[in-house]
Amino acid sequence: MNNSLSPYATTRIIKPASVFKLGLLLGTLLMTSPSIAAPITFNTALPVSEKQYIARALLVLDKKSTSATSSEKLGLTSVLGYGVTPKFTVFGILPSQLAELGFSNDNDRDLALGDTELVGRYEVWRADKRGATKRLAPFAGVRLATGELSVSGDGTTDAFAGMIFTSATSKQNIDAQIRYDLNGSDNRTLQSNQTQRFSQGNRISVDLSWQKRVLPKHIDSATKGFWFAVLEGNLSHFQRNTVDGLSDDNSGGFVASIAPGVQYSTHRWIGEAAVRIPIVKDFNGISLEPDYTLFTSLRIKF
Amino acid sequence: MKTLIIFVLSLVVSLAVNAEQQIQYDIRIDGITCPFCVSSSEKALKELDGINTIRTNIETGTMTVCAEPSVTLADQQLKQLFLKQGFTYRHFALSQGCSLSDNATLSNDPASTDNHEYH
Repeated sequence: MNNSLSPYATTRIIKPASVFKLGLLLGTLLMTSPSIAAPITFNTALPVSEKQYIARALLVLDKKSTSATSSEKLGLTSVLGYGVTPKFTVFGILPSQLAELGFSNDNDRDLALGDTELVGRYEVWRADKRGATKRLAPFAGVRLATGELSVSGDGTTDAFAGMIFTSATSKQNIDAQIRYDLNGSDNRTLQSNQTQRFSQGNRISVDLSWQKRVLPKHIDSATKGFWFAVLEGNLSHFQRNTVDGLSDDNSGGFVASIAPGVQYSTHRWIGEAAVRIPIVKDFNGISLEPDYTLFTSLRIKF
Repeated sequence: MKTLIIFVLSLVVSLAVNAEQQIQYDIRIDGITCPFCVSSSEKALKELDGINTIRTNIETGTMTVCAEPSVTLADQQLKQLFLKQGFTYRHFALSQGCSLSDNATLSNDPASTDNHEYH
């Protein structure tokens, strides 16, 4: 299937770059659950106490481009986590787009709700020591098509699952996650009022995060908060989308990125910021490719 | 000036007497690694009657709890409490008085404490 046959080549509604961009944005943002000193761009296996809520507000500026165009999206992802039991935590994640700049020929876009995610995470193993812990927690969830197609949602109901491993001490944390997104299909009017079966490509991703306490050097019972230097890495592979069973050449690909950041953790809240920069990009056809993503977030527990 | 000195001395003596009337639990918990981790555990402990002050040392995995003499904490109770927070309770040591820095005038002489460790 060459580009000229691609229904996306001239169709704004499901332009591959848009689908890809949303996939990347959602994929990387929606699992950014709130928790303890933790990764900035994905989840952790550390616990949420029973009957405790954790809320997170994540502000994201996402810049992508091709040789011909570029796009900047400003989004806010709201996350609420609840500890059902000490081992089982549920998360509700609602992304929203606050503004979109410079995409196609459209003017700036207004607020749009994104696709809502519901996630369950269950701790299956842990080993606690003095000032240290190791935890392993599989998770699974669904992403509901509550967003506006091609603006803030991918239009399909998707499922995902994965596993998180966390090793934490008072000096540093290491988190590792593998996640598979099984993206859904739906019927869409793509070109010439024809209804076609659109399937978004699946995705597999691996994340690593290292959080090193930099201040204070020494802690005691009077220590109020920790400063962490954070370095995260992500590998993501996107399968091609298909339309009526034919693969779309302007979709799918691979990206490897790093995300240095900083985090401050207190008893009640965590503030953090990071910038994700792709170091290897290999996308098919004409797709918007990530330039950078800025993350700032605040997590509180109550 | 004399009145002020008397007031301050009275306050210090009052605090010292009050502190000596307290008991202190040094609770060992495994798995806590940052301030954000411990706040829920501290909150759960504070909800118990008679708990006055709590201070946590993450590096040593120790929560120091000053409480009224009438407070009696038990292994099973603490095990359940910390289990709900997602952490592992190990044991506690009970002593007389309160050594927390908020009560700097308090007796912190180990010899004056009746220190027992419970496993």
